[in-house]
Amino acid sequence: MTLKLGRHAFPDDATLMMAIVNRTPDSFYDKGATWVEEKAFERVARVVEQGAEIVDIGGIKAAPGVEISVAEEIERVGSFVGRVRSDFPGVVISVDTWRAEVARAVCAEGADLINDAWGGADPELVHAAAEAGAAIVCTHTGGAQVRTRPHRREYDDVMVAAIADTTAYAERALAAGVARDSIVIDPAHDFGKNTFQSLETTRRLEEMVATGWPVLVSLSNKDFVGEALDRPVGDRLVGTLAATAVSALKGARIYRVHEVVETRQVVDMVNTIAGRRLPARAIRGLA
Amino acid sequence: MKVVLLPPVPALLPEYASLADPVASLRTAIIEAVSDLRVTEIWASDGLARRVGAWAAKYGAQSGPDAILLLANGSARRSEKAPGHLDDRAQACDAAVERDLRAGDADALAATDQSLATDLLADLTQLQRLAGMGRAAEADLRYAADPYGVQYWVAILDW
Repeated sequence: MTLKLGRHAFPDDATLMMAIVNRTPDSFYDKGATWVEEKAFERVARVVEQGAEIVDIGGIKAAPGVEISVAEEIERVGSFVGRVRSDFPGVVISVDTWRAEVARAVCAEGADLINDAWGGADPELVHAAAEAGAAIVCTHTGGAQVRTRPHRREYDDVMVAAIADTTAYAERALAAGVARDSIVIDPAHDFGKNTFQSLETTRRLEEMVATGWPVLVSLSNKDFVGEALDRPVGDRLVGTLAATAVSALKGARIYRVHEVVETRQVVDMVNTIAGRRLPARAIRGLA
Repeated sequence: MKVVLLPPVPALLPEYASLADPVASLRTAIIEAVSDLRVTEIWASDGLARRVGAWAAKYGAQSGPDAILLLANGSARRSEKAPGHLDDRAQACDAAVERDLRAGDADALAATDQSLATDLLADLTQLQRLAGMGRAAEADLRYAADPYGVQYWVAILDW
């Protein structure tokens, strides 16, 4: 399915890099490295140059922590979105938020995509996206409360649950008026899931791809990678790329990442092996 | 009669396409050479060369002067990075063929040393079919290069 993300459209064989840009002082991976606006802006410039098609700007870290008001979240991301919009018109701007009020504010500044990591916790969010003509990411959290860690959560079948919840969310977005080609689903590794559940989600990702909705995966440096390999944050790139390769083989379309260049190479290599992408330039044995 | 000489380079085939064409200028030269000719025959030394000939023939015209496609290339041992590594005899052998192509000297081309050609990984067997045709009235060497250590020519000989 052709993918329309706000002002931008992509053919159905395109894979997309969504680069994480934190406007937070406390995110797990970068620990506030782009909290200062200029640093965040430099990060945008860098990932755009590296070829990221999407930047995902977030004002609140996912893990539990100090509560951030709607006003504070808008303060962190609103005008920043406007600045990115005007300086980088070619990049898709995604905002990582679960709040409809924030979505409305950032769409007014030029956001193309609302990345709701919290599974539709705010029922108004789909309407905010629809009104703005924005795209939306529908994630699975197993009903987890916003900004909580999983605790002894089990599923009869985690992939069946992820598909049921994300496709129901997608249908809800569609009913609210979001365009069919502007809806993406995401199994949301680590969200409402222990490591075994995230690994199973990776192993069975093709079932989610088979729904026909474009699938986004957010694997980058997450705990399921760290726990699988016993590696701390900062030492999870190899594991992340292995999970990325599996996801690419199974047909994921969008990759939410810290490392754009490495992920792009892995996704391109896997899709070339899979016969979905031509080699860049092949002459060996063919001259 | 016209004979279009072109190299049987597999990278020209759609099944070996890349995002960036490694033989773009060769491809252009071949397409331009055949574009107003009607291909009646393909002379090729093996099945792969014949496939390249069939690919090129698709760019020919429905009508126009008849032309034979003759698939041939010079040495694949022209440099250390070449498929067959470096053979010091490659340059001289290719230069001789190229001189005869420019002159349109069919009999000289047909008399090319096939044993040496085999040593040099050159595909020149089909040149033998030009024996007895004398000198072409026109000889137009459109392309001559060895981008990957293999000597390619695109030429039109006209009697």
